[in-house]
Amino acid sequence: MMKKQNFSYIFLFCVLINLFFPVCLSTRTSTHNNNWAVIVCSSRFWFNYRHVANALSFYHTVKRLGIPDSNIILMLADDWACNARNCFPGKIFNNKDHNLNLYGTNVEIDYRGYEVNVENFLRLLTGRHEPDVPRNKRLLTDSGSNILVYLTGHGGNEFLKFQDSEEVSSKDIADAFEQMYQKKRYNEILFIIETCQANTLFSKFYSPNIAAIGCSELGENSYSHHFDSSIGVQVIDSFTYFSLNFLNNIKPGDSHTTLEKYFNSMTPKQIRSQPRLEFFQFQRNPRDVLVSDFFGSIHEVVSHPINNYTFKNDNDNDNDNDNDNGNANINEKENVNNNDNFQLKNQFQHTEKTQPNMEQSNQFQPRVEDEAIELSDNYFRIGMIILIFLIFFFSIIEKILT
Amino acid sequence: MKHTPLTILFFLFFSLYFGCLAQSQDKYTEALTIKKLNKNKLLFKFDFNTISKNPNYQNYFLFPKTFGNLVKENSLEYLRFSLTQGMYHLKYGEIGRYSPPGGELIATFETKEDLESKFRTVSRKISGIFGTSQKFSDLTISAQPFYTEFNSLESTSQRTHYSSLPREPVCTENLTPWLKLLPCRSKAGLASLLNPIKLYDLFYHSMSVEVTRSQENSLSFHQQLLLVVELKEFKFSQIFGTPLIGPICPFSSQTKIQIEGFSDYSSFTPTPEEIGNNQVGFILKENLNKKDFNLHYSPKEKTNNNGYNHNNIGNDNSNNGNDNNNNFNNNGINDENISKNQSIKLNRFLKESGKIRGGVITQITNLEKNDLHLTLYDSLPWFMRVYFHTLTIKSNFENKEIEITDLNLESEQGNESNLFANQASLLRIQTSQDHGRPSIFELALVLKPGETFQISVDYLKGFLNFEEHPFDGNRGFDIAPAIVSMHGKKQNLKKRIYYTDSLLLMLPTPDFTMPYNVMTITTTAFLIWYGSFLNNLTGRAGLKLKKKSKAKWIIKPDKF
Repeated sequence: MMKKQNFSYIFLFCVLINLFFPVCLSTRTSTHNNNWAVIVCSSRFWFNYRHVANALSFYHTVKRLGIPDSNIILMLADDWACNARNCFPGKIFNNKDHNLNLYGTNVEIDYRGYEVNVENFLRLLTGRHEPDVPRNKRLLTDSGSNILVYLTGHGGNEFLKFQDSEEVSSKDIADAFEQMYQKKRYNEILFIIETCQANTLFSKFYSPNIAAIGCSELGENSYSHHFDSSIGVQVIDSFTYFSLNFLNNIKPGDSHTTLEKYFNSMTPKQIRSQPRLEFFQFQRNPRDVLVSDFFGSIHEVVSHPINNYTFKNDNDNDNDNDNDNGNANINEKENVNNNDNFQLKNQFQHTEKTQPNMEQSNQFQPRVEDEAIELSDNYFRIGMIILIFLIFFFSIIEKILT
Repeated sequence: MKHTPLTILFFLFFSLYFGCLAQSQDKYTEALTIKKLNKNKLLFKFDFNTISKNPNYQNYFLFPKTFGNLVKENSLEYLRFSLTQGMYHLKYGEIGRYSPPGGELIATFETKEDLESKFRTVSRKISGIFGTSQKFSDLTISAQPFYTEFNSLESTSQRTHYSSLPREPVCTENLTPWLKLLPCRSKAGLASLLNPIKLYDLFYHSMSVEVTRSQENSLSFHQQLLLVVELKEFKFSQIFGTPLIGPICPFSSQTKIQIEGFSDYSSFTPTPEEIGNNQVGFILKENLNKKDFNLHYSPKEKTNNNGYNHNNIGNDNSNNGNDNNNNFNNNGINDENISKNQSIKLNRFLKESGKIRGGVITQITNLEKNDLHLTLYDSLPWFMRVYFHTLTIKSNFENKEIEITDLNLESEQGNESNLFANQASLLRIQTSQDHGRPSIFELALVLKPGETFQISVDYLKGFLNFEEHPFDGNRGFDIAPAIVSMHGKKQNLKKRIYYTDSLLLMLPTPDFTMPYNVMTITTTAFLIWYGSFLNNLTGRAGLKLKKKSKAKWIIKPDKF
């Protein structure tokens, strides 16, 4: 009798514990506590339009997934949106369908024009600035920061060209990262480079905890994706195009998409060059590295849609030359003219996958990770309760039988 | 329902509460001026004024805190910063103060000491606020105009620093921080019309911020946006993309729309009314009577061209500056190209032949009926090595050159009568230093009605160091415009500031293109090797007999 009593008390105790405490552990193995991003478009001149489209596409992806403007350093080497050669003033597109205006009003550019040079780039990484450089131009990371570094432009065997006249070599970047390691300025770095012969640029890395993705091998070129005849130049590169295809399916707070899955989504046949994903002295298991470790934020965020300003198109704007397809009226008021195509369309109409509607992210959404935890906790709790009842049931049967 | 009763109540309460507060502390007004200019142009001028009496620099209400701190920490008296895209020509009409293309920063400090480091601090903070480049504090560009009066403050000579970057890119992301300085941002009031993408499709737009600390210890913060549109008839929804939707900014003590320069006010819907001070327009009340305010103007006489068109050149009936004899030098006055109330006509250009030397010519024409007292401030970067002995002034009224009296008043503060005693006086010269400060000259001119002065100075082009070339050096170097300031105390004319054109100077630049250099170096090296190789292989050994005894075996190359 005493045994059974103890037994039942123990099980009652377990039930109470399970009802009040979560049991399941997170699948996340990362050790960072904040996220930063450094996005650089290093080429100048109008015909390099696709490089700024690449950079801004990644900028908006990173913002959508949760990194705020204060943690993003955006370096654009020239002004394309308000360039005299731009037929669509104030707008930059990464697709010939012109669905999304990458430039909008919510873009905060930290380094522009002549300030994007090798010296400022290396000063930014190492943190060695002149005393009166403002805060928004500094990379204020610490030992718990995961940094995404994205470079795009023209490059070659172990170098990247800045502004069509300067070069930064792979050894320079490797040394800068080593300085950052010694100064404890990062937890982990994801280095994505999209140029010709990109993989050579991270051949000299020797600091730990760096993951690098390059889009082309030595001797290979990196190709643009398609040409836009209304602007007159190529508007996006293949690597970025297929990256965005994959990244657009990721919601903020995603906890199960690994970096390897992202990398494997791009085949050499699609991007016409041989990409490579390499981990340099990574402390954790490389297969555990998640995309949201670098692209998103560890904090819970409310992500805003890209076009944040609201204005109403008048119904009789016949004289309007603009094609306003890309602008979304987020605050739903009446007089929404459906012909003006207010909703943000799927960004890439070439793929067959369904894309998430951007407007969904306007409201606060609980993280996917938390949902998973709650679900599995509920399963466990139900299972424990069923077990308790079974035990009581069998003990009663035992009592009856004896 | 657009605005629920709750929203109306909310804003009413807000306006009551803050209206009371506003009267005691800061006063904020909004105004939009719509003016008809020449050549089918229209001006939309947004003025947002905040005046703070006896500020204590600790608690800020409507006055933006960043600028309050800026004034206090750097002992500023006056600050003006503007970002402009496009060029405003005076032939469109007189619009008061406008800005030169690119970025411009003017700062007047309380004392003369340490101007350069104070200006550097201020310019870095301003460029951080507005997201522009940090080059305003570059000493090869910025300088101090001594005799130009930028504001109505007294005797600001030698305490003002000026910097102008004509090449500064201005884009949609620069408007966002400017809008954030307004009390109601772009959510309410006149600023809700401002959509950056629509603004950057216009003919000329300029946004500026002006902070003045007057002697009675009151701070005024003035934000101005100038838009020049080329339209014959217009609607708010066409230009701005949206009509004016309420509510009006509750902090504003007066929101008005003023209309000037139109001959037929009846072509406006809604019809404007008298709003005092001989002004015609609208004073907007809260909630705009629950209706969108979409001002529509359609003139009754319609020509062939309707609405928005770019091809107005052929319809202007202008000869573009020359009469039928193709005579360009017609005393600078061509009736087609000046407006009715234009005071002066300005022109500035380079005269060059070749890549070594050239000259800058500034032409000023007096179109008023009285004498004009002007000061001209011109600052040329060091790589234009100005030879000041070539500074000459010619007038169309006289055959010989005008004599320039050397006043050189740098050490003392001359009053008005001294400055304009002669027809042309040289007030100041600053010679340039290589890779350092620019060359500056300031002149005081007295122009008779209808007179044109042509001021010319010659220069030799200098060489830049390799690192000093900007990345697109082949495009040329932008030279800041000259400033002509009108001193009008005697004739009761307003003090005005005019800007000439900015110039584009082509310097001999090295060829930066990498493939070219690679090809030249490799082909030269190859040629040296191959040439000598070929010569050695195909040369013939032969005897060369000298007059002296010995014969030598010499390899003689075949002639190619």
